[in-house]
Order: sequence, then C-alpha cells, then structure tokens
Amino acid sequence: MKTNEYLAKEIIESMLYMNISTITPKGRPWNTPLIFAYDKHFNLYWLSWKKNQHSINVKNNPHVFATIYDSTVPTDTGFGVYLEGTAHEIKNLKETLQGLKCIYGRRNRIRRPLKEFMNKFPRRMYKFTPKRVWINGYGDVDSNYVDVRVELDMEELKQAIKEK
Amino acid sequence: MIALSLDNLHTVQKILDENLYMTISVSNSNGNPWIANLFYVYDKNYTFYWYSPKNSRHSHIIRTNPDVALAIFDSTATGDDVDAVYIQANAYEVSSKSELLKGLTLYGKKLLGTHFIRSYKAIEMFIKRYQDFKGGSPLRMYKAVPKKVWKLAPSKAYHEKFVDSRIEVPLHKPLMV
Repeated sequence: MKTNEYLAKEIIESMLYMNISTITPKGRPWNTPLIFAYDKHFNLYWLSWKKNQHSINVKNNPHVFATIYDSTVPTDTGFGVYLEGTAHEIKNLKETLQGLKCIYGRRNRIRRPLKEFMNKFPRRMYKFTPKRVWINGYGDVDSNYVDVRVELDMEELKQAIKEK
Repeated sequence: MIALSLDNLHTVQKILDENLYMTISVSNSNGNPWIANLFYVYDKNYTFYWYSPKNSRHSHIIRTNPDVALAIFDSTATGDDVDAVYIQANAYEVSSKSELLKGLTLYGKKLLGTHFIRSYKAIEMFIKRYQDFKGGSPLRMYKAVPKKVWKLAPSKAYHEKFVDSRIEVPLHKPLMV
C-alpha cells in the first residue's frame, strides 16, 4: 500500500499547474494558478511577470499557501496536496539557472537564456519552499463527505520526490 | 441581481460549468494566506455555495474576515495558458432555511449531473436533511457573493515571451443572464 507521501508525489508529478494563495499589501487574499516545476529537494519554481499581483504580493509578504489537485475528479475519489511555505524572487544567477533547468526540463523544452529573467525583462523566477505539506482525505459527518487534512512527513516526501 | 458582462460570459460560464472544485483563499488574523479546495455550486446571480465543517480553518477565518478570493480552472490543463475565473467575494455562513434549501438543491443537481448521487430519491433525501447544516451539527453551508470577477486576459508578448494578466469582467446590476 502506498504511503500518503507517495500519493502526494503522484499528484505533484501528474499536475502541471498549482494554485497559490498570497496576500495583497492591503491584506486581501489573492489566488493564482501557475505552471510549476520542482527540484529534488522539493523547492518549487515558477515564472511570472514581476508586475503581476501575486509577484507584488510575494515581495510584500513571502507567506504562500498552495494547492496541487485534480479539479475534475468526482468528490471522494481524488487527492489534493496542500503546501505552506515561503516564496521569493530569485536574484542569484546559480539559483535562477537551477530553476530554469527544472521548469524547461519538466516539459522537455529548450531553456531560454538566463538574461531574459533579469534587468529590463519583465519575467522573474520565483522559488517556493514548503515548510508543511498535507494531503486531503475524506471524512464523514452524518453521511456528508467532508475534507480532512493529513500532514505529511517532509523528509519522507522529499525522499519520495527524489526517487524516480 | 448580478450578471456578468456578455462579452466574456460564455467563457466564464463554460469554466464554471466544466469544473467541480474551486480554490478558496482566505487571510487569517496574522495577515497570512490559507487555502482550501471546495466542491462548489452557484446560482443565476453568481453566488457560490459550498459546505464545510464549521471548525475547519477556512470556516473559522471567514467568520472573522469574510474577504475571500476564488479561483476556478482546470488544474489538469497541459497548455501554457489555462483559462481561469478569478473572483473577489465576501463569504458568509448560510443560516436561513430557504437559502439552505436553495444551496442544497443546487448541490443536488450538480451531484446528480456528475453521477456522484445517482437517484432523484437520494437527492430529495439530501435536500430534506437541511438540518444537517444548522444547530448542533458540525457542518455549515457558506456562500460567497462576488464583488469583482476576472478571467485570464489574452497573453501579451514581450520579446516573444508570454506575460499573463487578468481582464476584469464587469459586474452589472441589474441584468439578466
């Protein structure tokens, strides 16, 4: 039987998009679906326009809550992964290169030059490091399905992610 | 009554109809985000309904801060631009019998349409048990009333690179859908 960490890995591997929740400088919640990739240490990366609201939000408040799930499966048949952590714009060349390898490598695409994510160019690379991760399960309250969250062991999840 | 601008209505409607879940973002008392994926239904005024345990974190947060952000999109998309609907809304607990029945009827229709519940009789039972969302029950029904709606704008290109942005789909009052 697969552990929750391996179930989470399967969802993370199978989905191209995640949804991130950030907070605007005025304190309002903000939701954004993004294409993501991740490295073997389970840092997640995305590329966004630096002027997008979520990029402004991350600059102001690095706390990010994300979810990776299948929005099309019937209730009680799918799993979702929830991730809480911090994100920041990458300014370091080595880290940018690492992120680009992950993003373009995940989709087998030719990597764009590093310079296109710096200076006058509009897009930036962002790195999200989860501190806590949950998977949803299903509970039953008076015959009504409800979601419950089960926290995962980060080290076991990272180990599962490393295994090909 | 609220209705969406007809220009983008078709796309918005398609996204709302084709997806089962929405992602709700809330802001806790420390000003940090919390997120939940929820099975949703909506009415002709684009008021969204869902039910959750009243003790779940997002339900707690909504009680003190009704400001929510919703996102609805096909998370299984494989292309570069997933079309999405984004909604800024205020969320409330539903307590009146009439609104509970309304929400549960919408739920029943969607559950039937997605074959999660297969018989009208089971739907009737589900709706009749509206007391499951009141009083001592651990469950509550919630609604989100939109203030602003956006969809993904056509991508702009900067040196052949995509730059995503949102386009607001204006809300009008009153209008018909």
